[in-house]
Amino acid sequence: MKDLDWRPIATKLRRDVLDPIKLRLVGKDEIIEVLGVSLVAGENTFLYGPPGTAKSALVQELASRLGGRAFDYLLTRFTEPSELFGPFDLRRLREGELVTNTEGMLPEAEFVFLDELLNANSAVLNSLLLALNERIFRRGRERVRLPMLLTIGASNRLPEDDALAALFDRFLLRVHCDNVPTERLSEVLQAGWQRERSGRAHHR
Amino acid sequence: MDEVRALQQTVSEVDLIPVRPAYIRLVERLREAGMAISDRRVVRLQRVVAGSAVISGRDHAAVSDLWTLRYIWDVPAQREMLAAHVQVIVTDFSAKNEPENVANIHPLADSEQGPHPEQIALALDNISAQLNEPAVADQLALLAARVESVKNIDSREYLRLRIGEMRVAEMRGGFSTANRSASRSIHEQVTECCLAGTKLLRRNNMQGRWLRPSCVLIRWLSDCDD
Repeated sequence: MKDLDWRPIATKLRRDVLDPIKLRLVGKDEIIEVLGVSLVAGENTFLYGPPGTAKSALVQELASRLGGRAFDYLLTRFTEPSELFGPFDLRRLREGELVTNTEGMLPEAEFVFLDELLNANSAVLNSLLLALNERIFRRGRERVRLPMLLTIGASNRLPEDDALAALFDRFLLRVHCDNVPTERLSEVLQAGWQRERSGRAHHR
Repeated sequence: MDEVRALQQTVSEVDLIPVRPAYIRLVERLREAGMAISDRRVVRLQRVVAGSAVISGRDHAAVSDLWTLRYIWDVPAQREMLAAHVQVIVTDFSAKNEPENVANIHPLADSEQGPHPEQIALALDNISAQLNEPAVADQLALLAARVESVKNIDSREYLRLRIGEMRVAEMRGGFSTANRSASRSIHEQVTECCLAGTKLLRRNNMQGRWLRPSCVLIRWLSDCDD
């Protein structure tokens, strides 16, 4: 392989990112490893499971440890593309230009987490498929290349119609994300409490 | 961030030749077992196999990287089936290839922790809904082999019983109504199995999901008894 020395980077990814997250989020080792491979491969992962199983926390942890920007959104059946990709820039609209203000939205994020992915309606679906397939965002004459490194979708149900199946198909890997078995609950509580405390300390 | 991009770049250069025969055989088996995996997905999954190699510090893929294919289910009931097929292929092909350096095997490739009993139960539920399908005997044999490596003794015992009862039913031509009246002796066997299973469940406070199939069987049997 080329002269680039990539092995230390792989070691670093495990030592400084994946392993520490395992300590912070108890009982998620399997999911964290799958996300690691998913990230390196540049293919998306679908997390299947009930709410409240630290799915969003996983993505936030990954993004912050890698110094990337995360976009995290809970889709409803009424979510519009502008909620994901950003609204039109009104100031420039007055000047007759149709430009999207993508600041802090999906088009600027390396890590994208779409909760309740299968709530996507047909309006959102097209832009999403294009984004996932070609890493491109298009609106009017705009065409933006997306910095997206990893997209994670989550839901506690599976696709029932063809349109959603097409979206589901873009998530090559699927992992079950369930509540931690009760025998490890005490660890979950301890780790969660620790997170809570450090979180509060930051805000102060 | 750039480092992650560099790793993604590296993935495209991984040598996949060492796993190709095993990979093809696995896809073939999964398709035979009824999983619809499109060619497009088969092609893209190569990236994931290569990703496992890179993250494990290798510039070439190894048979152990095929663990990634355990995570391509369309419905959760396929999970145990996938794991079983992957295990068979990995064992088969590792015997033929040079032994891998243990330090460079991905942690999830290690099936030390044994199969998950509840997932096997789920796979069995799935099969019992289609006992008349031709592939059932194969699938049962595969799961029976997996059951043997379940760590918890009680769960293993229970799963063995269930597979036993399903095999009997399968050999007698399934649960089709035509065979019901003729299968008096199965009744007794199945009832016995179910009761033993239920007792185990009670003793261990296991989850309700396991109870359901047994209850269905018992209910069905009592319907036939009159």
